[in-house]
Amino acid sequence: MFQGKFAIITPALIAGAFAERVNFKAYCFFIAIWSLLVYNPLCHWVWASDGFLFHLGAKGAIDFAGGTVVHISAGVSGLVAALFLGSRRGYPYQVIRPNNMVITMLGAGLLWVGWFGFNAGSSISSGLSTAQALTATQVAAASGALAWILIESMHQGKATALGFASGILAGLVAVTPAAGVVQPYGAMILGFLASFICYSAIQLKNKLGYDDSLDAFGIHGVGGVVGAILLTFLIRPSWMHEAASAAGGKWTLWNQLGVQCLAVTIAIVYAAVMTFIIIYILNKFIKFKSSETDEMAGLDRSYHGERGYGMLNPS
Amino acid sequence: MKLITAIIREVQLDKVREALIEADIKRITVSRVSGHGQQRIEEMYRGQIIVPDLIPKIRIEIGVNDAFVDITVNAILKAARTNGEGNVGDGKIFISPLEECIRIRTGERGGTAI
Repeated sequence: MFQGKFAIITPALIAGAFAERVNFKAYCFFIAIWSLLVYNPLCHWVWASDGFLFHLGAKGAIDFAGGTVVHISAGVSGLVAALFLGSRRGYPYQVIRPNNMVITMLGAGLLWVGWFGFNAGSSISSGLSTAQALTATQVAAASGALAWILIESMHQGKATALGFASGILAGLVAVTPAAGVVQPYGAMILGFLASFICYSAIQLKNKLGYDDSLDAFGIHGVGGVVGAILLTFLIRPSWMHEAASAAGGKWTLWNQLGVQCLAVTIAIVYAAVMTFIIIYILNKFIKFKSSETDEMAGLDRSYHGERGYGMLNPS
Repeated sequence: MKLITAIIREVQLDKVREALIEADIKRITVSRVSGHGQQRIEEMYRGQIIVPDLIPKIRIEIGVNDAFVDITVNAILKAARTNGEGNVGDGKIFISPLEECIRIRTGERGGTAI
């Protein structure tokens, strides 16, 4: 059941990349097929006791709570889908802001607290490693948030609440693969670096001009890669000793770095290629992108006959 | 000087604005209103047929000099009409005389202030 939670959250992340321009029916099919063909294999490779990434190197590729399985796969798949669908109408010259910052902040708070379950719970126990994961999660989220505010105020003059939320997320995503193996100072560094790199990724996205609606790739994809690779330099010594004994004497961090890079590359390539194939074939049966009239009327009304937000008009 | 008030469907706002910008009418006020003329929508919601009373619309107000009235009205008509021949509920345009127009920044009055 707990692992099922990871399986549900991943497609939700992908939806963030192509919000507001995807056909609902096609999206439902996409989630079902994607979960079967992309998430399940990746999940098995990394976490199952007979998965090949689980056994890669001395003690396996480190992915404590799903950096590769959830965030990299969702981020990359989201990017592929977003590029396939094209931009929303009016992007980029029409600024499409979050319509309700209060709800966004609520969401960020929910995520922060929920992530304790995500990371600390991934220790599948209630003991030392749970506490270690919890501490790392907290520290990374906080340092990510602080770093983003500092970067944003230096780069753009004003620290925004949306940036604060993004920083929290960047920190959390980066610590997800690392929660059980880094010490708190390591988590702090990961949070800082993740915010810095994810911020740059979003600036790059603006320059390149593609429409990743909620920065699923910018924060989850890039943050996952940052966490999975940079954690190698911050692994606690006890883990490295265990790895060394499992490897028969010697296991350096460069060995582990190779393992991490390989795992990340496999995740990226597999997710990207499979997502493209799935969308391409699905598009032949149901049009993946919403029609222009549907998109202009708002997908809430076109696909669901509902209004998401009320009290805007007298009635 | 005339004040052109157009009440259009929500969905058509983007199109109408683009048409106006193309016709070089770039000064505009937009607000959300509710109302209806002959239009009556029947919807199915939670298993029942309901008739929403006041229907959300968008009101556009543009102050123009007399020479630009036709350009503006034609742009709005072309863009706000749905599907070519139009449907009930496309909206209305009201043209009222504008007695005075004053630019707050400089205090200019009249046609140049529009």
